Amino acid sequence: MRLPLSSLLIILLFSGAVYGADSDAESRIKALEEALSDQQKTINELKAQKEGGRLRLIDISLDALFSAGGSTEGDESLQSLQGGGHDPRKRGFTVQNVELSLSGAVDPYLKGEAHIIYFLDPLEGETVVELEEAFMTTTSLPYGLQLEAGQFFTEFGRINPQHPHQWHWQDQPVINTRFFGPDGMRGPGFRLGWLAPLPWYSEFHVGMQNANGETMASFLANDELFGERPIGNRPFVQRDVDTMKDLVYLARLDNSLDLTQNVTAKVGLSGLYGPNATGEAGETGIYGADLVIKWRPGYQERGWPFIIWESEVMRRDYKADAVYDDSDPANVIDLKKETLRDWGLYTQLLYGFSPGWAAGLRYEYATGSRDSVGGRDNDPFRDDRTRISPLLTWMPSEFSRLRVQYNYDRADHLDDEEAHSVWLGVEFMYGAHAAHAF
Amino acid sequence: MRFIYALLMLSIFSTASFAEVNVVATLPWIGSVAKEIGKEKINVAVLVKSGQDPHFVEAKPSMIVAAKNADIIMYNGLELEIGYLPLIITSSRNPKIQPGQKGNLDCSISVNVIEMAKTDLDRSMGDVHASGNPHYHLSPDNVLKAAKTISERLSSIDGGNSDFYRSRFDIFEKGLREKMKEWDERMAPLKGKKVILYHRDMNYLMERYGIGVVGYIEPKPGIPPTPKHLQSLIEAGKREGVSAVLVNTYFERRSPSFVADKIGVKMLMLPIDVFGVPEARDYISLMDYVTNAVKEGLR
Ligand SMILES: [Zn+2]
Repeated sequence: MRLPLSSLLIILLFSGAVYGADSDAESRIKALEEALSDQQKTINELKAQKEGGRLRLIDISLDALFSAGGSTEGDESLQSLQGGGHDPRKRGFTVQNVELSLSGAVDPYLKGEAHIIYFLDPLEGETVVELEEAFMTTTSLPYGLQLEAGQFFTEFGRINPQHPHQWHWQDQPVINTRFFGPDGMRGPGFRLGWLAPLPWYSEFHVGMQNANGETMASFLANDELFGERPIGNRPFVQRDVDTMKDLVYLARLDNSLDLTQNVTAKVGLSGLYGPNATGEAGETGIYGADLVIKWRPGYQERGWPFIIWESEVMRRDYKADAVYDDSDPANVIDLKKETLRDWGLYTQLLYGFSPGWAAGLRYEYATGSRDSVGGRDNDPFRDDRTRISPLLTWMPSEFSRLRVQYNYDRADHLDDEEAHSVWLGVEFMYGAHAAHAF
Repeated sequence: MRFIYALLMLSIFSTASFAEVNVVATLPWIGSVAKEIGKEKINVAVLVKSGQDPHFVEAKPSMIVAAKNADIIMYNGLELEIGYLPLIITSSRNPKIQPGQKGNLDCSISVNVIEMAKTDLDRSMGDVHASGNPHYHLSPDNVLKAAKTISERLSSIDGGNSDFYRSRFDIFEKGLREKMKEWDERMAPLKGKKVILYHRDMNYLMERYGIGVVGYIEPKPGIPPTPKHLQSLIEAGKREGVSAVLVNTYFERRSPSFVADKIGVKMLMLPIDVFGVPEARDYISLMDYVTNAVKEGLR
């Protein structure tokens, strides 16, 4: 009550003074305005005192992905057909991924970010909780440098570094499952990014991470993961980390250009090199190229319409060491040194045709050369495989999404070489507004 | 050809080191006001195009490059840029524009904000802004305040030219005040009229000229209309005797033109930012266009 009264009083006083004086109108108006602006300042200050700024400590958000559906394949077979850890992969309901994200400024130099995920193992119904990522990012290193350290997704291609809720389709590409395992390639280490001083966007990344663990499928992996998904059906060989050569190394180059006002392209090249689990001489190289082109017209309502065309192609050279084991005379293992070559691609087009709605089509192909033990045709992670997936998405708001996706699979390892699956997905997200990278 | 031209412009922009201040503005009106004050002493890059819905902008890599080379980033504030700006600022690795630095300017710090939340909010109410209605730039009083903030901040980061910025602000203020008189006269007869808006994006204009807002095509901010909501809006529009339905150019026209038809009034498409129509070359010509169009439409 005090504030409006006093301001009224001051205005009255001033207008009184104005009436009394006979100088020109201009200066009277000026005086009045100054008085009013002083008042405004006081009001703003009081407002700030009352409400203050908020101290933003941690931005929290939760994203949940569930799916329901069915397939011509049974649950056992679905574990390799839908081989991504967050893919819909069970007749009935799948808890794909519930992700808790925590982020905030650490101090004037660092930002922190952590993602903790929860899901249900589809076969056993067992609860799984994982620390997916936890890392810090520098904000003000000189020369366009940025350092990230902690536990994080490897910056290879487009799909691997993203969280499942950032994918447009409900499952991860077949080739990603083959090369990077069920949960994507991630691990403890560091990564240095450099934004080159060029007139267009050009970023170079180098990184170094541990090569062992269940999220390092094509590298040292671990006993359990390799037991479930051996590459080329070879036996697992335990290796110790002795030198820098026993870690995995990344290089990535990203370039982006606005082709026109409304069309933006981004091209990436990635390479990985590290030891693998087949023996002392085992080593893996993975190489990939990715391209995304987005069209967003000058007139957009709530971000619609849009077209996103995204493709990745990647190749793996898996140099397997020789193995000789005659401890079981009935079953002598004698495998030669050889390089298993695999490659695959996905290309997907998503068209946001009307506010809230998008339709898309994804095509995938994966294959390999040199046999797996027991034949490549019987190896669900190395056989010839094609998958075609139409998708329809409806987003009632920015924070929720319903999707229906059909997968047509043609894979050598399947009994009748074909499978049909339909997945219906629900996603909701609440908490801090997350900004997503291009 | 166009591509080469863009490349050329970009390289000029990034190598410009001759005592010019590199300004990145999120919205066209901010870029326009900054240019009025900085003139040849500053380079201005604007991130959002005028036809784009400013609530839904994707952070493009080219925006990160612009922010990397910026001496100052100027933005609307009041959470309007929350979906893309934090990411751009972090990815730019530019220490000058990080939050709390001189090169990070929230243009809303001195404006008068309306519709500040008096009760608790959550997202069941749509895309709400607790700190008040962020679309304050159709209030010339607020733009004058923002212009003052901009000129003070430019003076502070480029001290050698502070007299220049101050005098440019004085010129801008004089011109705007004269125009404000003209707009006030033009809009005075509209006092007491009523309209329907699509979104809460013209409320500052309506408030300044005493035009009542009966309702919105959106049932809640950022939430698309439903038939039921439109029906009740048509009834309210007839009951209250609205004069027109005003729609910002980037929204769909189907629902507002349906509502306008049923009530029996015109639907007016209005640019909300500079370059929204070719005539709106800067802030003042934008307001000229908008006030003229509203006056014609509400007659
Ligand atoms: Zn808004």
